[in-house]
Amino acid sequence: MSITLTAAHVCGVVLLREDGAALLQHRDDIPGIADPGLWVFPGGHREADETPEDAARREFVEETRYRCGDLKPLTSIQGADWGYGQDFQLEFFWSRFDGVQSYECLEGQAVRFVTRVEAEQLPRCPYLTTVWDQALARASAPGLSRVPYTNLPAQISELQPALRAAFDRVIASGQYIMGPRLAEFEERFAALCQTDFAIGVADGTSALQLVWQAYGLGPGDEVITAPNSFVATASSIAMSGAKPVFADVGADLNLDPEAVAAAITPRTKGIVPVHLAGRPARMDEIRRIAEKHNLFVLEDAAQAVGARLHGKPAGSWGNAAAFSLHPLKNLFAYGDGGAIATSSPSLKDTLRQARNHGLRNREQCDYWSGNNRLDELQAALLLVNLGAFEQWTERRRALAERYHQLLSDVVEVPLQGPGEYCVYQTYVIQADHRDELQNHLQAHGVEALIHYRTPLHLQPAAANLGYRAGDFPVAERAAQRILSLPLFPAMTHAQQDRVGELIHQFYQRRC
Amino acid sequence: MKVPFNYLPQQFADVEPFLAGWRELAASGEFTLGPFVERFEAKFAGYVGARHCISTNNGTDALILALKAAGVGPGDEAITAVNTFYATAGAIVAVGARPVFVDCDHRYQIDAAQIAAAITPKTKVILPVHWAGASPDLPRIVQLGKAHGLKVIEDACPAVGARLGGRHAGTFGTLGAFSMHPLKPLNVMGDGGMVVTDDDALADWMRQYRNHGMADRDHIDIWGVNMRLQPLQAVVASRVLDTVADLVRQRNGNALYLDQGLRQWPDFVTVVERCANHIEAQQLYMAAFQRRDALLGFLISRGIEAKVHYPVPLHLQKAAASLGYRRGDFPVAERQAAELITLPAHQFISTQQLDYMLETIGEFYTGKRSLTRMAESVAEHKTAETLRVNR
Ligand SMILES: Cc1ncc(COP(=O)(O)O)c(C=O)c1O
Ligand SMILES: Cc1ncc(COP(=O)(O)O)c(C=O)c1O
Repeated sequence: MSITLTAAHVCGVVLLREDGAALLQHRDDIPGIADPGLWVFPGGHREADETPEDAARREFVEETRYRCGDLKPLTSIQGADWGYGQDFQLEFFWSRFDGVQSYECLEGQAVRFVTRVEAEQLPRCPYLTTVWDQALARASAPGLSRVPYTNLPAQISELQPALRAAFDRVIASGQYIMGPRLAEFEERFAALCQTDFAIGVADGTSALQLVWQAYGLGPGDEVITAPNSFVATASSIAMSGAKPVFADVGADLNLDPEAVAAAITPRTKGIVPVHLAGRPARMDEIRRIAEKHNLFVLEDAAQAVGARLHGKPAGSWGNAAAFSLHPLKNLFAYGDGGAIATSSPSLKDTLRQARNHGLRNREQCDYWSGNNRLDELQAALLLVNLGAFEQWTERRRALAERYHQLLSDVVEVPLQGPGEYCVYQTYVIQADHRDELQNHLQAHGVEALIHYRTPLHLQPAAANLGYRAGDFPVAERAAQRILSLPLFPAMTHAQQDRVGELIHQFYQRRC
Repeated sequence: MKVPFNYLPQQFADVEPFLAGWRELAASGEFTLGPFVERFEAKFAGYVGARHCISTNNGTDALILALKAAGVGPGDEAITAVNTFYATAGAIVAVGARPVFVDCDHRYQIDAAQIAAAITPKTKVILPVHWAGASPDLPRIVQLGKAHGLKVIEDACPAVGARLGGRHAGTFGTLGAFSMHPLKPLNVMGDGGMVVTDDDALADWMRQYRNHGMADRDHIDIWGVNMRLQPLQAVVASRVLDTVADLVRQRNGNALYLDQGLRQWPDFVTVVERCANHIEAQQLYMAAFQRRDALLGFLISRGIEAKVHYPVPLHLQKAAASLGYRRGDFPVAERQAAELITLPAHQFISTQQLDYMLETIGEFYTGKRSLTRMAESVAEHKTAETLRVNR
């Protein structure tokens, strides 16, 4: 049998013995194989009734399997005589190999199988041994229960049958591009945003870009936005040829209306308020400024499905709003997805056409445009998720409330302001000694992230905009202090308590 | 009898293998690029024999990414076929450049002999299209590109599985773009695409640009975009890729069968010439028919889902108004736009359906329904049936 190895190459055979020793059979006979240790081991994580060794072993094997991926069928050629499945597990170990694209090899030739006896005599790969020891240490740490940043499988477990039914329906329909589910999703999403229309698109970034394309933003124009956002907020402006102009944020970490007013020039065409972390920006004031100067308001509501200010949803305040439906957002598809909300019929028409090659129908192309569609399948799955969305949001808000209570004595917590209804797409605290705190949490199995470590005006991509450190003191100070704690609908109170405990422990030790 | 154009429900009748992959994906939480996407990229690169594969959200994005990587921008011209999908021109315009069209030949492929005349000082790239899954004369086009110092970017969107002289479509130029739209030979359950190249620097740049210009999570070197392939679709693509060779073989069996059958009516039907050293991916089976529109209506009335790709060539679209072309500029493409019909010839079309299509066409032209069964006349060739392996 001939096997074609692709860009990934066998560089060894990993053997995992019952006693936990990891062995690596080096692949000396493939020329050019360098360091087999291109390997990342995931964090320690233990299921309810696993021994530490079992947990470490499982992770080890999962990770190796993972790397084998599509080439895994190769494992089926394993012979019985060297005892697979009895004393040790064998997995193939792959890594990228520069310079060779495909490798024809014969069974048993490129991959040399070793017997158990032979394996015992092989040198232990020091790197793997370290990895193994670390995994074991993590899994054995007393009282450790890992707190992941999110847990999607747990969150959707009850939705499985409905998701499956939705999936089957789309697959059987044969219509995978722009079908009835997309139209239904758009209707329901518009209702959620209290806008007249919604347009499903490929992702949140495309949502922002399409609106600017439809608006006709271009070179010489300026758009004011916040420097403490995700890059797409600014890049979507820059992509059109226009200049992103930053204005500082307030204590709520959203655009400060006064700073916006001060940044307006004769070239200003629009404002992009960002509802960061699911907290609504001060849209009433921003809208007043926009009306006064006749500016277009595009809400970056990527993080804020369902958020409200004075009862009015994020996405319904501006001329248009862009949403991301990525799996890490609070309403999500199972892959990239996005939507635009607007109440302008002409903008809606332009956007529907612009996301699909500028086509009026299959045969008529009114203007050249790209492909930025939301998959029918994702729309169908989103419809199922929409059914649980209110419940998820309530859960997030309740957990946030609980975090407030657990943490407000040691760190700054993201309380709601007057008239605000926050959806806590991320729970962002502001803390002293932030990096050390993050390390402390990480070391104890709690995944805490930073959104975002470098403000946009200080990114290399923004170099030609002429900003420098110190220009936006509130955003810059926040960038040193913010930390996003795990908060997801399936989070347990025990997990939350654990996070609280660790944070308290950290500050107690420091003083 | 019904002869459907859409085969997706049949192709994905068994969804279990995909669901298994997705469960693994959901458990991993890797929804932004990650190992599932990387694995597919490595597999596809190996499949076509390219050094790098950079997957994208769709074929249009793949073209845009390739054009951007090649440095095509405002003020530049890109030479391409006039008989292509809107996205080819759309991608050129998306990077700020101007599409310059060239007529096609009798094989519906960009006419390599006419490209030189379209080159101006502003020309930056040649963008030949593998229209309908067949291939233009790429060696000649690459030669021409070399002679004029122009990069060649292949729009191989419809052509996964196509080869010329053993080499895969998309690997002749500096960059090649592919689509995995549901009706392409390698398809996913939604949108997907990829770029291939052997150039390390271009590959690095494309990987970065397609994901917000991120060097890593915290560092953004260039303003970029989100053009990522969904991992969920990468799982689908990985599996479907294993079937491409078979389905291309089956489609070619069907195409051969239809070619033979249609040659009975040389006065009415012109069958395309097939090049000996090409393997066509048969994304669309097309032939030229007299009284096209009447025949099309007749076929549809008989349950045959025939289509036209496309009745209006790009230069006559409203979108092209500012490019200054007019009717008569591209006589071959214009004639084909009035004569071509696409017949369903995909891997799920049966011999009965093929016969039925031929009978119906024969009835339209001759008024008679009876017809020698093609199965006999092509028996000495590889028949569609024997080619239909691994159903
Ligand atoms: C504020 C903000 N804007 C835009 C985006 C871009 O959305 P997507 O990732 O769907 O392209 C995101 C999501 O990452 C975001 O958080
Ligand atoms: C020649 C050609 N170019 C580009 C595309 C665009 O690909 P996609 O639909 O994946 O964006 C297609 C397919 O639709 C095509 O046939």
